[in-house]
Amino acid sequence: MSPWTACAIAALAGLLGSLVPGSSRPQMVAFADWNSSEIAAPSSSTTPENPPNLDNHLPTTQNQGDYDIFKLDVEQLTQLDVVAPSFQTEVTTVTRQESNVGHSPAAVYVITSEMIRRSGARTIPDLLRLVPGFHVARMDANKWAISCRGFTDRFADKLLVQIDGRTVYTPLFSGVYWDVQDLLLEDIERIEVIRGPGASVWGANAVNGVVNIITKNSSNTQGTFFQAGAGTEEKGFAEARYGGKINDQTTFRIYGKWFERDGGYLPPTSSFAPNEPDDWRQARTGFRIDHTPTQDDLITLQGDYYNGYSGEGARLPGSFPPTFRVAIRDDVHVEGGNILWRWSRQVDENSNWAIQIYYDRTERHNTGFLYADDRDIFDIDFQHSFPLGDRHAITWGFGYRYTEDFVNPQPWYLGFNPAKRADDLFSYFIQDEMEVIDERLFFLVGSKFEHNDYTGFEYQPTGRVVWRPNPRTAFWGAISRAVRSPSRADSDLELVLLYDILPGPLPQFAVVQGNPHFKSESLLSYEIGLRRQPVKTFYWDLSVFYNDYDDLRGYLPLTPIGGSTPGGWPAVIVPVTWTNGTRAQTYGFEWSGSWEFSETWSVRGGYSFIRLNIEPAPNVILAAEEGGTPRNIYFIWLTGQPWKTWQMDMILRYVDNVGSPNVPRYLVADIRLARQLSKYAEVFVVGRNLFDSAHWEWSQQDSLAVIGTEVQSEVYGGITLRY
Amino acid sequence: MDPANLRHDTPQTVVQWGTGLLRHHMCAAVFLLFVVSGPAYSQELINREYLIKAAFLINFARYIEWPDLANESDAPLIIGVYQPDPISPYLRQAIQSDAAPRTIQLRILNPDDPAPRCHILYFPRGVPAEVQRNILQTIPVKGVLLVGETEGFLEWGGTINFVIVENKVRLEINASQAQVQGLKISSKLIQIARLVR
Repeated sequence: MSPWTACAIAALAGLLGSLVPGSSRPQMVAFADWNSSEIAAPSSSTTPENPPNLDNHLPTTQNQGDYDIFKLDVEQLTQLDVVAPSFQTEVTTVTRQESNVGHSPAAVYVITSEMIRRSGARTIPDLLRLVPGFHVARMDANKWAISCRGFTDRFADKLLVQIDGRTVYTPLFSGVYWDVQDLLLEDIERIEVIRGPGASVWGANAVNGVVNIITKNSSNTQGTFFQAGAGTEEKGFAEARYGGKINDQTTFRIYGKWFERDGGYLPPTSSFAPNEPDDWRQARTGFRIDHTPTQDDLITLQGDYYNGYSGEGARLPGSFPPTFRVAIRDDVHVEGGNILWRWSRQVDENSNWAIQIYYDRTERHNTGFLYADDRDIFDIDFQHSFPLGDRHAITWGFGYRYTEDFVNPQPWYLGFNPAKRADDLFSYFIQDEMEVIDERLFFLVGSKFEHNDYTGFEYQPTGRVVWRPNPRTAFWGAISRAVRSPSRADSDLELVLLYDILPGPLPQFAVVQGNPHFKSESLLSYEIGLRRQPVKTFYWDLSVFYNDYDDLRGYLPLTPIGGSTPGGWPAVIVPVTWTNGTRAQTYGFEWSGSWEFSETWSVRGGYSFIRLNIEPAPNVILAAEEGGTPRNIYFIWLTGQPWKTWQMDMILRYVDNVGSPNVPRYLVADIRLARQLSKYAEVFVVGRNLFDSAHWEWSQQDSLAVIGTEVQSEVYGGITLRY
Repeated sequence: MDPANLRHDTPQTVVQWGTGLLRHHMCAAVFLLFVVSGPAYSQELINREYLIKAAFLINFARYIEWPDLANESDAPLIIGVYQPDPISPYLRQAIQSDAAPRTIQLRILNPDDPAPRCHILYFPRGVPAEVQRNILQTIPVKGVLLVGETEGFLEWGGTINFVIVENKVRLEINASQAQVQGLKISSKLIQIARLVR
């Protein structure tokens, strides 16, 4: 069965499913009260006095969903949403204050814990595939190129990723080592994603987007959770969590998890086939303690530790003929941990403050060659919010980050000069939210100011507006400036690569030297958006953007010189350095929607379109070439309950072809089936990347000469216990 | 950081405009379909508040021990619900489902009725606070689980109060009151609840 046929069948099935219950049911008109009901208000401690819909509330139909809720255990009952998420979905990332999607002047999307559980994804990158506008490309089994609104790369540097307020991108290249960003996915409360700049509150690197992963308070993860399973690519996984109470005000949880995953697929002609080198394994443990000394205070202490091996194959530049290459199978030993303390206080209804301190250590030691990278980060952050008059809400804050690293070089391949470096980052921000017309029109202005050791002072302002002509519609617009401040790689890199472009008999090597005078890349972004929830069961969201980038990084090749390899063979050396030579513009839109067409079935989806225009500069070769981003991406996710006690999810994902690296387009499906055996036990089986035995998602060899592998179809199954 | 691209620096300019255009039209069509069909086939938003609360009440029968039911597994557990109430239809469904741990009887009560013999008394928030307080003062508390959903319910002498926090149903338990009433609440319930004194 071809994927397109399957797509058509799924679409037809969805349409039929939606027509049948829809047309046979009487139309209920109850627009008037659904927004005034405060049931979904995030902070209301007790429901309002008047019961909503007392008269028309009688359940008219018996359905299986109801019976299933009666089968749930009390802990699961505390996790159920009272009303379906939509405009009311809670979001904190946009303004660093509790708000909801309907009020947010930015392109926000929220992945809820229910979506995480039902997606069948086992890694955070796989979850991000389900965010409209996100391009997630797996390079090998443990490396991903992830971005939104363009500039996808394994070393993509314009996306800010945070876990519980802890920044997880590495200052080494301003990107994310995705293989070590993991959690017990069960413990994630939600993942908030902003497409577009979030720099006015989050600072440099929140250029094209912000991913904010928020874990559950430990009072919501009480009891025991256990999950284990295995499959064709998932060689085995097991995870467990226990949550309990220390006293009336204090709860805790501890967790542990382990997995072993197979590598991707390589054609038999590859020198690394048939035993692909990119299999990996990792163990992880952590805890979280939440203490509420008073109703208005929350003190959290949490930490994680992980240890594992991420495999890879690499073709390092060599010293000897005939190929001047050395093929190496390598296991990167990854180890690290973090500890975070946060105290937040709700002073009164409209004012609050929070202070947060964390320490984070990461170690990556290649075992196949010498390269190693150790890093310590210490960070402190404070924020305060208070009302000013009737119409202004001020939020301000400051932060300090210290980072220190040591990089052990692999000669004639990869190193940094100096090998050891410590940097300070000072930042502060202020923001004013103005309610111009009650409940209708809001302005937001703010800016982040930073001082870093590479470029000194940076400012990142934003101006935003939300207009809600009625409670079911919101227009928003924003103009923002964001910068991507230099990383160690921009300033200090020393990299040698085989460079076979020039004619001639001698081997050629590009020797890339970082540029200590590299400036920040900057973005001026224009966005508008529209959200509609015409009826409670249907919600859609459109955002359109035009991004104007300046000072983008490019390669500047200098005059080739004669030299020799470390082995003494004559060679041509092409010195290359970074330069801020390039301008570029991107424009496009993202659409997403969700529709609950019956009490047990719903469909959601996203579609995004982008075009990139690079203004060529003399002699400069742009690092993120045009075509590095697929023009069209979409997904359709059908979720429902085919039979009593069963759950089914079907996801179709399409990613357009990518020009450079040259990757063909692909369409694959993920299917998850789960059955609740009893109050305590659930079994599940998941098929991922179906319809396509193996496909490329990213380059066959990346900029560090690490080889890519193809993503294979897989099936895995397992059991979940909760008690 | 992508020096590998140095090798194939021919810019990617081939655009499949034909298929692209087609796709955009399809998108527009799907988009329209969504916009148009939304209102036409819509229903009331599913508010599961009382469904979830009914499921909790059924679970109380499992995790709470009543003095007069402890040794009689056949005796029915009686739930009384004051009027006006939005929960009894769901409770009926719950009682009929095979999820109920024992025989459960449902009684619909009027606020002016004399104190009834029930194991669980449910006070919907539609009952005025004054009336709730009066009933709570006159009721013989021994062996009765008093469940409410109104702010202040525990201070008036209730045992368990439902609150909605962040769109989720949560419990507040007055453990000392439960002790006075001779009810044994399992640690499982205590774990997921907020204790109020």
